[in-house]
Amino acid sequence: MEGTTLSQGTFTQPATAIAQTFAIPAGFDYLEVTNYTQSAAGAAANGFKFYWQLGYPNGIMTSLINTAGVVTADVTAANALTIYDPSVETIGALDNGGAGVTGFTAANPAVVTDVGSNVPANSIVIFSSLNNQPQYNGIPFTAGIGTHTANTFSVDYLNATGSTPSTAGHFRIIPYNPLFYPSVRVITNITAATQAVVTLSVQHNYQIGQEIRFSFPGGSAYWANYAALDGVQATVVAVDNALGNGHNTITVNVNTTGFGAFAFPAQAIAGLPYTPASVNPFGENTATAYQNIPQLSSFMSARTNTGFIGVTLAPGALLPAGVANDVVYWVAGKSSYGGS
Amino acid sequence: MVTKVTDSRQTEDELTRNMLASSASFINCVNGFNGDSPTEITFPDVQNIVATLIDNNAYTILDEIPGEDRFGTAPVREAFYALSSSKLIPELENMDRFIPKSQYPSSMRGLPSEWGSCSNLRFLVSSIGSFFPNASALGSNVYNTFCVGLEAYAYIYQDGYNAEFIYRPPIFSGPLAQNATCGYKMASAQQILNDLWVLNLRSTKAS
Repeated sequence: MEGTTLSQGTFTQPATAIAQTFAIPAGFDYLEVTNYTQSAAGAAANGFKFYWQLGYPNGIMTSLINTAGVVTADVTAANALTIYDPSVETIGALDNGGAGVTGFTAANPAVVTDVGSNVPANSIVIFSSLNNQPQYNGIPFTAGIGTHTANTFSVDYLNATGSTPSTAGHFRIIPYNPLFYPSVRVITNITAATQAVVTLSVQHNYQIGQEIRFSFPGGSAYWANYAALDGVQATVVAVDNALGNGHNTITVNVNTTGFGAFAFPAQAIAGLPYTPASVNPFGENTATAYQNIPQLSSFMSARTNTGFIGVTLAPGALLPAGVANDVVYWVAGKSSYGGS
Repeated sequence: MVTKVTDSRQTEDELTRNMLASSASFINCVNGFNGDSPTEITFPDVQNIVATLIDNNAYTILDEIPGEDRFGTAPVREAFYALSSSKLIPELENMDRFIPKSQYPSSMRGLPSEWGSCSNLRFLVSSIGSFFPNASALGSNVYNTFCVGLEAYAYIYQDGYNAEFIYRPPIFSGPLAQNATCGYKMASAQQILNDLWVLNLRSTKAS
């Protein structure tokens, strides 16, 4: 039976190409990827055919490149393909193989320099040992949507304006979101408004009608006026789930007028241990949820296991997930005999 | 085959663990001395988490164990469970006012996986205890200790679909009866019933 277990599918890259993850529930021993868009004769040299099978080293795929109709053979960079199994508690290599953080700007969004780090867009990263911005250590952040080059990447939902830029530190890529949805998310900003707008550090995918509870451990000595929100229950009345700086927010029915500008605690900036502020979705406000289209499922407030066995393909001109607006097809299969 | 049976029940534990790691509100240990954030677990951190649970109207799960006239023992308070990693055993034992299970007035009242108690927490440790790799301010592992009150979360069994261990002797594998197979399956759901009654106390190793 195993020799007949085949899976197939397709995806289309958005305007900003991102890593593509999809489920292959039966698992796979080989994978063939065809970039339909780049198969057409074009001026640029882009990969259009990629192949991997069990035993290939370091997530490398063999590939064919189309340059104005002339086809050449190649192998991709490492980690073009990553097996996706969120039940395994793994984490990426230090600095993703780069030389270490040499810059972390005080900007909106913050931009990190780490030569050779090659962080894919829409990664989740966690920083450690930042020398001048210890308040950002240990917090997961979505990265690389606004900027991602071989040597730099943006920390998309962090407004680091006013902080002291770091010149040293490290990061690692967290390969998986928490296994269960909805999960706790860390707060990077809250507006002082009649309906507060909360920015979260990692893509949240919350929905209108969900009930959340704020957590601001440490009291007003840490969080000034925002300490009053500790333990407060609120309803999500609007969401911005779009990618990129200025997005990934929730609007809640809590009046924070006069609370002042949100800031990370002085203790954290001084490098002392602290607990970041967070939101914890725990239920739903049925009336609000049912007024919204699409409606929030009655079960969305339950803890849903989002895990699956699959694969993540890296984006790029010479990588299997392709570039902006590419249409990509894939076929995966299991072998009945042989191994790595 | 025995391993497979263990895997089945362990998978259920791991799913519940991962649900709590994803969903429970967290508080970092901040009173230790290892220079990290979070720090190693200390008595004031335990006091803080107990006070928070009590303030949230959580009920304790375990009754107190009254003191008895026995050398080296101490009474154990009524307690919440603290579900932790066995990697934290040294930090637990070095914590002020930690009472090892062997010093309970009645050793019969300690649970098999229990390591001891501190304030109103009784620590249960496991090799599959939850942690976030390299997630501290200094890049060390962050260990999650889930402090839970009564009925804080539920493991929901599915009618007619509890864990099954399935063994097929070789006669079912094919005409030559060469291979036996065994495996397990189960369906389950985990749910936090009251988010105020379960808190994730996050800590690092002392060194």
